Amino acid sequence: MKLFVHFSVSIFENTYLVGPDRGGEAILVDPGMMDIQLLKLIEGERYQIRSILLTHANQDRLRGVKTLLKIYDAQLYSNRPRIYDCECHKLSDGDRITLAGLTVEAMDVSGRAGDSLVYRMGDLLFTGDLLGAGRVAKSLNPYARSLLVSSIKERVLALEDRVAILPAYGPPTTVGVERAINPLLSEPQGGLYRREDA
Amino acid sequence: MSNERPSGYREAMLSFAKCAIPSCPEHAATGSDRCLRHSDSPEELKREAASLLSRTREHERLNLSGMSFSGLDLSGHQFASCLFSRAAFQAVNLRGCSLHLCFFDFAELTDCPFDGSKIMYTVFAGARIARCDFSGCDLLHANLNGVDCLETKFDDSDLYFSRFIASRLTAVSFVDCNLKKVYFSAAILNQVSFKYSNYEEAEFKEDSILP
Repeated sequence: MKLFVHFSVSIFENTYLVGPDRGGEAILVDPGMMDIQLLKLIEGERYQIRSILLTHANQDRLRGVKTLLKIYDAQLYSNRPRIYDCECHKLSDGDRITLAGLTVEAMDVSGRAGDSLVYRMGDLLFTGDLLGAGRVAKSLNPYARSLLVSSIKERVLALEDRVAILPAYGPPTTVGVERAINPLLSEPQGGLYRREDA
Repeated sequence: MSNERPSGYREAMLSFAKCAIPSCPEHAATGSDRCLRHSDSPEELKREAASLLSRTREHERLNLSGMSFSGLDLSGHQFASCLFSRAAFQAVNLRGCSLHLCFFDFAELTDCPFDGSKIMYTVFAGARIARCDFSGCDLLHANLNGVDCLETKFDDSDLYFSRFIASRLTAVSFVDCNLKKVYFSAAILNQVSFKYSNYEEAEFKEDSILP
């Protein structure tokens, strides 16, 4: 299995391309923007995109999808049956599917807008904007924040230290690193650095 | 459409065999079916690892976590998808290297020159970094959260999208660096220089990491 990171300079996001060693069917995770560099990468590796995994159905996650669907006969996967005018294969927490020869497990890490999924493939965890290195996604209010932090602790930090976290924004990290270092996850209330503490 | 990969991309292959001890969650070390801790001959494994690093210049999918290296000259080497978690590097020359999706989390890096290296999507989080030189590096999308960094230079480097969240930086210089979208939130800075750098484009506020 090969993994490529594509960084879109227009929306500052990472898109991940996962595929077999010698071309064939491949997976895109969160193609926020479809640009010529990403197309060259896909074609250069002799991949055909058959599956597009979306961690969160916001506009940033969807910009590239419509373009991709004009080029490739791909199936969308998210936790909604439809995103705008695009039909999706709806996934729920614990669902396991095989895509491009890889087992993909969907995890519902709720507490935010309730429509985020993270995807595990082996020791890789694609977290979208839910959890990045030293950060977690923004919440609408303290209650939502508390839910989100609890959920990340229960679901994500329970995984093995070695699991690599590949977020939509910023650098990679690992479960072990976030458990030890992320200041927002190191306290029961959800962070050492709350605004009210400053 | 050309069937060649565009420049700037490097594949990662982050799939490693598990340690043969059923209850162990670690990856097997390169050259063994067990992790370093469960190896029958850890010292021999370390010697083989040092030899392996010196023999070739392109390294991919190595798991040398927990090992110690001293005095090696690895300048100009290329590393992709390599695990050096909790490893110790003492006076190892890593000048002009290429590092892509490598993991040095909780490692100890002492007196190691990295100057002129291209370091992308690499994790140094939780590492202890003392008297290292990252001058003139492309240090892009690097995770240096929680590092304890002492007397180290990042001068003339591009640190775009790298993070130093909750780190402790003492006598560290970032002279003439690109600090756009670099996070220093919740970091403890002591004798840190940002001379000639665009530090106004970096993020220092603790509440910037609030959810």
